[in-house]
Amino acid sequence: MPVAPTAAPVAAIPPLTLTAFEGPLDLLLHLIREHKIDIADIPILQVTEHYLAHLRAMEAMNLTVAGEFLVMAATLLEIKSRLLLPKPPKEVGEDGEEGEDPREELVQRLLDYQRYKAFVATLATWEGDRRQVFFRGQAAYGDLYELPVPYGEFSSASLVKALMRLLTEMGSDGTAGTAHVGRAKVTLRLAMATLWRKIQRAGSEGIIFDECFERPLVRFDVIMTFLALLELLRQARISAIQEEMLGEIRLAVDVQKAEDETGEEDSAGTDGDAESAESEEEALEEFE
Amino acid sequence: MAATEARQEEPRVYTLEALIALLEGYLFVAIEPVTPADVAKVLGLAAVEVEEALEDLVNLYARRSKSGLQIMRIAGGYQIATKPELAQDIGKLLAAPAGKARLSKPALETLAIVAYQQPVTVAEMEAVRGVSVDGVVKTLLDRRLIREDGRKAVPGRPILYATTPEFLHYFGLSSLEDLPPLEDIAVAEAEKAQEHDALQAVGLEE
Repeated sequence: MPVAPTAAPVAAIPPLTLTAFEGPLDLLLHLIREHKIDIADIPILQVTEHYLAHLRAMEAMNLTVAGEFLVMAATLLEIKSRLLLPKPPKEVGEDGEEGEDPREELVQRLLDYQRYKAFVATLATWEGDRRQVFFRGQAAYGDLYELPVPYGEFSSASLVKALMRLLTEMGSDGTAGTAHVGRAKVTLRLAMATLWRKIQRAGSEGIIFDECFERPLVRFDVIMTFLALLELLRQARISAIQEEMLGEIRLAVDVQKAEDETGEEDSAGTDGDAESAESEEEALEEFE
Repeated sequence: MAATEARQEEPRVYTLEALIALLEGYLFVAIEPVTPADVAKVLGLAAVEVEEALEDLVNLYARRSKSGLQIMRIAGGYQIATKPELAQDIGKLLAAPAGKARLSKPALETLAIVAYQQPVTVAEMEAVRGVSVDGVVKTLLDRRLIREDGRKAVPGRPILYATTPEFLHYFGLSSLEDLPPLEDIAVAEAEKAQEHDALQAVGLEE
């Protein structure tokens, strides 16, 4: 805790100490230490004055005084006012205990905070010590600790990786230089309908990622199909499963969703001639 | 062999020396901390036996003044590491980027609270620190030093947070039991504060 040097100890209002405080408790602890105050018996009036002076100083320096500091100011003033109020006739208990001290809660909070604050120094030391040793594989992994993805789950990065692999596999189509920009035949809606039907037909097993894409691969179609895939995932119509690290990604109808919609799906999905224009239209309508 | 077939595990008997050699080899290739329990399960030995051998290995390395390696008790296991005195040069040789920045004071403060009060909610952390901890919690989650650990059974069901094995590894701790009791810290703090004040007074007088 860097503490700015205090000027004359006689000054009633603390000199400008522009240390960055972690919060109101930090500031209070600083004041308590600076004025050698017994934390168990805080002179609220004095501390409140110092505290408010600090806030005023911060404001004078055009620093934004965070709301938390103001809340603490209010708390201090409240405690002060409660101390000023005449106490109800004290009923001194048998053990000589006096009524509740309004400062009690604040003192407890300060003590708690002080402990954790003290522990920070220890943690920082440990952190530094630990950085003095190197482990195998650390050069490759750095200090990036990453937990393996739980079984049966995978990150969205796996999907991106799969797409990149596919695009690489496709390579350049060698028509660099000239390009005919025609009207795109595939719309996202159509791509979604095609993919959706394909996955539905595959049943509960679903299809693997590579099967989503029509061969030969065309960059535009690949991208459209991938977008369609993402959209279907987003709508929770399908789910993506990867059972092992680096394994195949399977896409299947989301069971939950399918159950919710069984009624309507039956007409569009189980049509024997799935290729028929009719069901194609129905599928398209679904994605309007 | 008749007796061996009765058991599922191959009851190979290792001499202490052989076990130590085997563990040394495994520690050399293992990238993550080696736990006695895991080794014992695979080899069909008692975990205590493996742990003792690992402890022997720790001492063996500690006595080898000419070696640049040590075996650390870390994150619930054992891991081979370079000696701290080599840090600077090894860092140079690895030419690795300095690694992630050290944790900020707010991050350490928040981590301290999680370490002692886990599982703990954001509101509870804020009550101790007196400031908002949202950003800090996100940083700690990103760095995998804390993880979500269920929800508290109070209105709103706030998320509870706990420390991870990575937390232990990051600070070179073997287990959470390595954390000193909080009450002890308060005493140390009071002493340090006095020292600090004294030092400051000296500094000012000079």
